[in-house]
Amino acid sequence: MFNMRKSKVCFMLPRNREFCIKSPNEKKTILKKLEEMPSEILESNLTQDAKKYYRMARSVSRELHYHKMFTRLKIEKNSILTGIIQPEHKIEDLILKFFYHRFPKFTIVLKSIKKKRVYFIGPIELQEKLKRKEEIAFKLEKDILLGKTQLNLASVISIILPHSRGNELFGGILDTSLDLNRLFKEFYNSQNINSRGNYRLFIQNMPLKYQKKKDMVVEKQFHTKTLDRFLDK
Amino acid sequence: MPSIVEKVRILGAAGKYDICASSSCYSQSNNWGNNLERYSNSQSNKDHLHFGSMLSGGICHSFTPDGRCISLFKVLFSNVCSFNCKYCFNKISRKKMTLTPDEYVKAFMHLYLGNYVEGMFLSSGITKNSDETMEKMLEAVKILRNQFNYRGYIHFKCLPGASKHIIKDAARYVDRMSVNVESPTEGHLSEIADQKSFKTDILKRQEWIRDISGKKFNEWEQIDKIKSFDRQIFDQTSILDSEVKYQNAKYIPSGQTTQFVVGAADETDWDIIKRLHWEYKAIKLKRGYFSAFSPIQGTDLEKKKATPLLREHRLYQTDWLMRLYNIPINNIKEILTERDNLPRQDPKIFLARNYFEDKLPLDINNLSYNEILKIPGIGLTSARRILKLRKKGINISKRGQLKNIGVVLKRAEPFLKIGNSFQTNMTNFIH
Repeated sequence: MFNMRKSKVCFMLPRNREFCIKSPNEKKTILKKLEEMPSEILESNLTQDAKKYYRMARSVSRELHYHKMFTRLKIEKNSILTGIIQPEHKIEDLILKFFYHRFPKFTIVLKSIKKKRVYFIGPIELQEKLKRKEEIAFKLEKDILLGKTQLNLASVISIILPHSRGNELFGGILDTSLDLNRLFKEFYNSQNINSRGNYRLFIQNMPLKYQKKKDMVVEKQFHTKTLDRFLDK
Repeated sequence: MPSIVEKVRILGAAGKYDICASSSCYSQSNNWGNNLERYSNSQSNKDHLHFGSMLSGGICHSFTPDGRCISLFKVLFSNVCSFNCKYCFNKISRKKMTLTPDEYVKAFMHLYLGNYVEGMFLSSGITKNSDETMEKMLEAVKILRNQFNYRGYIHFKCLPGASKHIIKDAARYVDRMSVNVESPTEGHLSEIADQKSFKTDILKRQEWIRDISGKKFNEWEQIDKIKSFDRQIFDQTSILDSEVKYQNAKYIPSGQTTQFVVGAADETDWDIIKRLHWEYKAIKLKRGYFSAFSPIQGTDLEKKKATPLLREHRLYQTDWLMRLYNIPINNIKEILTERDNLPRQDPKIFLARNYFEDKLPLDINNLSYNEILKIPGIGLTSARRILKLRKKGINISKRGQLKNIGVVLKRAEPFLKIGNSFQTNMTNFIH
């Protein structure tokens, strides 16, 4: 069983979708109960409440981890990275921060399909430009802007493009025309050892619900069973 | 002229049998990137002039149909190899290719920025000699670290027979290094790779890596002054990093690992376990990896039977027991079969039967941490939770409590007395 400390449960729980739709009073009660609960009881799931809160927090944590694993980014011009996410819980800012920490030179733009919003993290100059277009919630970190907008992905990129840092960051080594999906497909297929085939373990590690996601183009090929597969055997 | 994509396809296939490719750093604060970060925080505006990061647990970015995860960019630098190992895939590959350092970096950076891989695993066939090949591999690493300020994970494969000064130079830039032992003894290695000398090409290199590993750059400088060997080479590397920007950094912060090919040379499990135990003690190995031998058409061992994957699995279980559960090697020796192999079932069950023979059923509330760990179905986390609850004054009296804690009851129950009840078995009736 995955081990989650009380501090992490307290951090993750308020981001849970079930928690978010509760009334303010209910939220207060839950948070108070959680605060008073001894960490040993919570981490060992010894009471019904502990079990419930741990499960809710775990669900958020799991979804965040899956997004860190499987969100595929596309390299656009002027050091912009774009991607598609579909979280159920309120974790868009955590996903953005993860990618920002990993690629601080880049402007990161993520489209949430379920919530129909575009989330971005980039230079502070974007604030003025985007404010005129649409209502946005801003959160500032030093000279970095973290926000969301109802504009579509293409419009956001067109606004961000002039303010990005440009391709000179990596001395022109980045090639936006290189088909990343093809490169990954070749790499992925080369790594498979047929004699060790273990489809059950594959499904266990990569549940079907994640294979069905838009980004999983390469992995999806093993999800589709054709008649030939049975006839060969 | 083959494209990068073509090269990645062919050299990726050549590198797939290297399995020591997890991306975890030993601890969150103990990786190359964070070492560097501590320094750059004190520099005013250098914070954002880098890319790449590491998580202590690592992240798998995909899984292949054989169930293994794709976490590192595991593509050989070259599949040209002057060695003639009997089991090796490189021997039969028709298309011989070599990536240039720039091509390697380019392919890696695109996949890294696309969030397809978590880090780099750099290995190669030995083109002319180990030193020349390693120098080229190192060039790619230096481009990433120096030119692009990459702070992510790099696992660097030390080729057998490489010189000390190159290992030392590489140790400055990488998170983890490994030399593949392949076989547990000199005799076994000579059966499958007669060009490699077990003692000089492999164990000696492991010892060098052990001596450098984990030491701070400054500390190493002092040792260097005392011993005054390789002085000239050390001076050269100092000039390269004249800004001394890695002031607090450690050499190879994630330590070294190794890999065994299981079943290629008719070695027993006990041979492997003994060697691994020695490596943990003498070489300070972080962990060992096992790769079940599978015959490749066209190699000298093509007619040899493939090693069952279950054997590899049992070796991993035993390795876990030795490394994390602190089970002494003598206890493991007691559960071996007549042919010095591990039993077909979970080795922890056999160990528990031997250890708790006359003490069953056990009251979990009276056991020490080490004893709890020996019960099948109870892992490190569950054992810690049980002890925490005991300190709080809560005793285990129901099955549900154990289940909630995370204990696998199916395995643990035959050994335990929970409340007043315990599982009956055949011996109860016989007596």
